[in-house]
Formats: sequence, C-alpha cells, structure tokens
Amino acid sequence: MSKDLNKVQNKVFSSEFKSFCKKQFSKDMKSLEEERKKALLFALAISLGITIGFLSVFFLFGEYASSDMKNGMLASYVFFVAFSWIPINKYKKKSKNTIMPKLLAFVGDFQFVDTYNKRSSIVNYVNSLSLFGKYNSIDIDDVLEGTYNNINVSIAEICLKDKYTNSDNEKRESIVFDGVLLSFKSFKKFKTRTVVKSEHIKIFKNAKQVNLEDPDFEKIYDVESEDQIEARYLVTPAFMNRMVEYSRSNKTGKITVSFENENVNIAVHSTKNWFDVPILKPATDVSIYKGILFDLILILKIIDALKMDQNIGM
Amino acid sequence: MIIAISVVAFILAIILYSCYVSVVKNANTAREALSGIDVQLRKRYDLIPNVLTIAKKFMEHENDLFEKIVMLRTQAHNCKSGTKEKFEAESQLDTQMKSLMVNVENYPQLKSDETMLQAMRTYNEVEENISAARRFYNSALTQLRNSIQIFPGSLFASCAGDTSDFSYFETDPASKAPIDASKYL
Repeated sequence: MSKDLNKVQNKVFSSEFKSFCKKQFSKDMKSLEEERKKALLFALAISLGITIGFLSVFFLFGEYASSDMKNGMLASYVFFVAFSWIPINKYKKKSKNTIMPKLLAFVGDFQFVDTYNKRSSIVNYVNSLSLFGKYNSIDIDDVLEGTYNNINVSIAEICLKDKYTNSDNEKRESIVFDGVLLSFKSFKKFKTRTVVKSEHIKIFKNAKQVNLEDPDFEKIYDVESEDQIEARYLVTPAFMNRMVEYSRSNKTGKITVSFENENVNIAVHSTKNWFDVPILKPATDVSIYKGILFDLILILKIIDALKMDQNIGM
Repeated sequence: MIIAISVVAFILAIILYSCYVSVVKNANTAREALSGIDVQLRKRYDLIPNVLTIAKKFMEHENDLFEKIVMLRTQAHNCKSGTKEKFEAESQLDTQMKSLMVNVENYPQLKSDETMLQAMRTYNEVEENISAARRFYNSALTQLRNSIQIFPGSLFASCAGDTSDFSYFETDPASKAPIDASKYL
C-alpha cells in the first residue's frame, strides 16, 4: 500500500502523536533517560578530569617537555576525550534501535543498520559511484534501510573528504561531499552512467556533456553521460520539469542524481546532522523522535517529488 | 610590421580552423544522432511482427489495422533516413500501433496474456528510446544549423556535407489536436 508522506507528516506533528509516544514507549523512554544521564555524567566527569589533569601536567612540567612529548600528550588527551564519548554513542544507538523501529513504521519498514558491520559494503558502493569528485576518506554516520512504496531504499549519511599534504608539508583536508546518499532500484533499464549535477565540473571519465531542451533545467543542472540517447531516455522532459520544481521548492539542499549500477542514486548536499539524537535533550522528549521521522520524510519526499516510485516511463 | 601581420594571420588561421573543426564535428554528431534513431527504429521494426503475431491470435476483426501497420512498416523501412517522408511514415506507423494498443483493451483474453503484456512493455520501452534518440537528433541538428548559419562557420557550410535532407523531427498534427475526453469516458 502506498504511503502519503504529507498525511504521515501531519500525523507526526499532531498532538495525538505525543500522547501515542508517551503511552507506547514510556517505559523505554524512562530507561533511555537513565542511560542518557549516566552517559552524560560519565563523559563530563572524564573530560573534566582529564582536562584538569593534563593542564596541571602542562603547567608543572610543560617547560621541561620536548615538542614530541607535548604532541604525545595532546594525542592521548584527544584519545581519552573520545573514549568518554563511547557511552554517549551507545545511548544514541540504543535510542535508535529501541523506539525508532516502531516509529519508522509510520513511513515504511525502515530500520537503522549497524554501520560498523556494513561499513565495507557501503564504502565499496560509494566508491563505485560517479556522483562525487575526488576523495580519499569516507565517514559514515547513520544508515537506514527499508521499503517505501514497494521500493527497497538505502539511506546513508556520509561525509567524503579529500585529505592531502600541501607544499609546506602540512596535512589538510577538504570536504568533497557532506550529506545523505539515497539509493534505490530504477524502474528503467540502462547500461551506461548518467549524472545530473548542479556544478559544472566533469566528474567521471568517458562522460560527455548532454545538452537538453529545457532552458530552466539547463540553468540549474548539468548532465553528463556515456550515452547521449540513454541520457535522454532517463532525463525526459517530464523528469527535467520535476527536477526544476524540486529545486525551486528545495527543502533539503541541492541534489545530484546518478543513474548507475542499475540504481538511482541521489546525493543530498547538506551539512545538517541528519537522524540525530541530541544528547542534551531528555530521552522523554518526543521532539527527538519527531525530528528523526521528519528527516526521513524529507528524504523520501524527494522520491515522491521526482516520481521515482512510479513506473510511468517519464 | 611583418611580425604583427604574421601574428594576426596566425590568430585568424586558428579561429578559422576551430570553426572548421566545429562544423565538421557537429555534422558528424548529427549523423551519429540520425543513425541512433535508425538503431531504435530497427528495434521497433523487429518487434512489430512479434506483436502482430500475438495479437492476431485473439483479434480476429482487426485485419484492416494489421494490414495498414504492415504496409506502413514497409513504407517507413524503405524511406531514406532523416527525411521528412521517413518521419511522416514513422509518425503514421506510431499512430496505428497506438490504436492497436488501445484496441487490445477490447480483448480481455489478449489483455491478460503474459506474452502480449511483455511485448507491450518492450514496445513502450522501445518507444521511449526512439523518443530519446529523436531528442538527441533534434539537439544535434540545432547545433549543426547554428554552426553553419552563423559567420564565420557559414564559410565552411559545404564541409558539413549534404545537410539538405536533414530535417527536424516534429510530431504529426493529429497528436497536437485537442483530445475529446468524452470519447473515452
């Protein structure tokens, strides 16, 4: 059965949703809140203790320490602070795995995937895409998988960086992509690669610029493909129209679309922290779950806006 | 003075050469686009007999339509590619095939036949590819015309070869006419 995302969104923002959550998950919320408090306290205590400890050592013995020792101490300080965040990450993960699966059912049968176990397959998939420019590092945050309107959808929050050493031998990094990658099987069959992007840069080899008829579309997007006919088979006038409409009513950030690996891949460029569980908000605050659901709805609305869930041939 | 003249002449030669290259490239792209349409049309020609064979099993009263489609297929196949006649024949063939697809609705047995459904799906896919190939051709032809009609490209118009036969693909007037929805309700 197809889902109407606007109806789901209205439901999520209604007052009944709050009482529904309180009624259904009050026990889970209370236990999560306990865990959140403990995690926060642990992180604060460790961070504060370590900071005071390291500052004292620096003040007392700083002038006798060599630069290598100072760097070593700084690295161990960063390590301990990161260590103090482990319970916080655990709490965030637990919160996404206890309450969210039941709430995500409002939209489809979505669930958060363990990024640690799935990392290599996600990295391989991202590396196989022509959507992004040159990068050499991938950070994966949240990954969701599920079915929306009978389409299997994967959503990954990723950050791609290009790390390099400049002429002064300093390590630098530039962010190539920060946002969400949405992938699902295409109704249309194709053999080559086609990318619709909003930057006028060439991102993959053997690609040729595709000049299309819609001047409004051409102003916003640039199409590159290995096959001029296949590109037009995929990027139809109706599709161009929908892309322009989406760009005008943009609620997520600019998007880049690629047709490759038998899939449609949509990269949503946005520095926003998607699907986040804020540690400073109590776990009993329903707005946390509303926020995550709203993020998912925003992403899935792209499929609706581009009519990618319908086999209409346009 | 001689150096200045040589430099100007050299720059002029480069400009003219790049115009020549662009005209030849655009002409070749237009020809490539035209052959792209032919490839897709070939698929349609191959598919039509299959569709007709399946349809004939169930549609006993549509012999006139079948004959018309066969005749138009032969006519379209024999026309020179890129010509107005070819586009017109193709357009008529397309109209007749569409009416065949509509008539399928009147034969419930045929409508639910899996081979017919598969054939119709494939036919629709081929149609979408033909439309994409036509769009590529129209775009390539616009680029070619722009390059040979605007100075200094017009100096090299003859290098593009015989372009008189190239014409834009346009839909037939019947498909532009307003649709009377009451006929279908």
